[in-house]
Amino acid sequence: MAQKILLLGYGNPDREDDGVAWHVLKGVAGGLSITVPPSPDHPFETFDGRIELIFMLQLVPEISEEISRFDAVCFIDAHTGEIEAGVRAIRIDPKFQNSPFTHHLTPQSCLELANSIYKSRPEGYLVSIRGFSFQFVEELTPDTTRYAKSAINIILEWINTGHFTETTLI
Amino acid sequence: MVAQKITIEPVTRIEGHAKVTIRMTEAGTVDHAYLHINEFRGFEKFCEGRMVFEMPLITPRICGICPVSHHLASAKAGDEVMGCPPPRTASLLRELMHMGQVIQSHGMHFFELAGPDLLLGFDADPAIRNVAGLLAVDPELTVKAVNLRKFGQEIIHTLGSRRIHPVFAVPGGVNKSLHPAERDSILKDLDESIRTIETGLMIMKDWAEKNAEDINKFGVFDTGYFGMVTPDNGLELYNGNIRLIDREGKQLECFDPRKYLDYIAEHVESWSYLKFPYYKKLGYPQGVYRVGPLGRLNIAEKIDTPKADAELKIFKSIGNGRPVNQTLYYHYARLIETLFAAERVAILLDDPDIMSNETLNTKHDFKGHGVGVIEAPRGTLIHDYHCKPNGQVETVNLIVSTGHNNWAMSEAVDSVAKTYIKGPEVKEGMLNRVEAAIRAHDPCLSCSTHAVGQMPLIAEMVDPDGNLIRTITR
Repeated sequence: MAQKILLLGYGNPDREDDGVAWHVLKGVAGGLSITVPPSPDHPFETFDGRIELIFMLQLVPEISEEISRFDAVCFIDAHTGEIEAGVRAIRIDPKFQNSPFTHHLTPQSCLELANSIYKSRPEGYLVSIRGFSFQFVEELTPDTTRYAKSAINIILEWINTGHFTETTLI
Repeated sequence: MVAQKITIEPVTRIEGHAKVTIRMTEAGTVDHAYLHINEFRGFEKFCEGRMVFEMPLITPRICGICPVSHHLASAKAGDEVMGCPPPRTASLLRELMHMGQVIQSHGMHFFELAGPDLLLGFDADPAIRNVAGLLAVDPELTVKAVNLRKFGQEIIHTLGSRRIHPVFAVPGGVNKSLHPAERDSILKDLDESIRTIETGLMIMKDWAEKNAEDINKFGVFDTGYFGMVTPDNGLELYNGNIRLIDREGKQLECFDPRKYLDYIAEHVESWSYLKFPYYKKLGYPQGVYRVGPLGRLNIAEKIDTPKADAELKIFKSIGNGRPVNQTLYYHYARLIETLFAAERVAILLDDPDIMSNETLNTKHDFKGHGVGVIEAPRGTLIHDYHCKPNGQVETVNLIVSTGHNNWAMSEAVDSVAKTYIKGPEVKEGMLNRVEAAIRAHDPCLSCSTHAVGQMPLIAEMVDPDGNLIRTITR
């Protein structure tokens, strides 16, 4: 598996389960035996010159330029009860999705910007983990912690085997 | 036909979001439209007990949209609490970071949120009424727009060092000086950024000329206007007194922002969790006012940078001696401010003091109370802290920009709904105009959290007994 992979986690680590992507990235970094940075503000090391881990508070338009440099991008985020699954791993395609009121971008929109502006169409994946509580707390709830471990395993298996399995874990 | 209610509600997972309810009459016209905001006030409690020097690191976490504004307002409050005014170099550098924030936020708003409405039309297919659609129409402009936001972000990143939360301003100054190579790196992209903003201004003015009829019936109403000014009433975004003018443009007050509680109070309405600030002497609702780009350009008599000042003169001519009261001119005002911010970057970087190493005042004269005020992209942002003698925060009061504009956004929604929504069939373009009335104010409703997938709008039509007649989702 020689392709360049970006693991792009986003969320607010100060808002309890909203920050689950940060915890998942730490777990993946541990699984790859790379140093875990001391806080979400610090960058991760690159693994094997081909896998990069980035954590952001929110998705922004200019990340599309970064995305365009990779062959595959896996977005990692929390989701609410509107999606029943505890963990959901799916393939996603470039598609711009409107945000009616706010400066809010989706993974599909970022892929579309990479496609439209930089003529790059990396494979897109989204691994999302159910969040249960979004208070001003830095730790995850027990249920989200459990689901985060499953998400870590899904991502590591993909990296190790080169095969992304679409998954819905209840 | 029976009377009905339409609800536009972004489906999100946390407090801090808005819902629009449109009550229709039996004749199919709009009776009244309401903007409900679920205010999120938990953060103030979260800050209590923290040390004041931590606050510039903690408060940016309120918001993923404008963390720099909270960072700087918090540091300014900390300066007051600790009694340690920053050296001139630190103030220059803080303002430079602030200009980066204004450029990236305003740039993104105009080109990526408002631009598709303006360039592709309010009634365009929602599938193409977005940046990707814009790209198909004008690819070069879209790339420039992304680069403009990136330029602002790079200024923030250069000074703040970190990717997420800036670590830069501290009570008494900043913790990093600017190196010549960093200065040159920022300057390298400045001219192109100014050209992009000027292109945006041309687009805006061309659109305004062709759509004057729409502009003059879209959320047009009188209010007061509120914001920061220089000592001679010029546009100011970082440090100055607060000026308040009335509906005719006459100055009501010009005061030290530390004394904000002497001038403004907050009204409560049963249909919104967000309070409605107003000017105390006039009472509510006569004393309501608008903040943000439209408010600031209405209170400013001039701009101390040449290109933006020339645009301000054109802007002022629209009002013909009165404040400009058309909601859609928020977009024009926003671009003029973006131009000002870019010109300020050049001025700040040309200042001989900006690369000095004297960036921190370490002498403290503890006061225990501090108010930090800044003109965030969306309007006046107030941080007010009371601290114990050991620097531990006892109480926090935050008044955010979106709060000041609460009445205006509600009025704009009502006005636009009454003007454009004609039943019984409610078309997508009609609802988009109602959303655009909110978007023009660039409210910050996302409150630090994010959801997988888009934020869909659901419009529910309900009869007077609460029975669902029709749901529109898109």
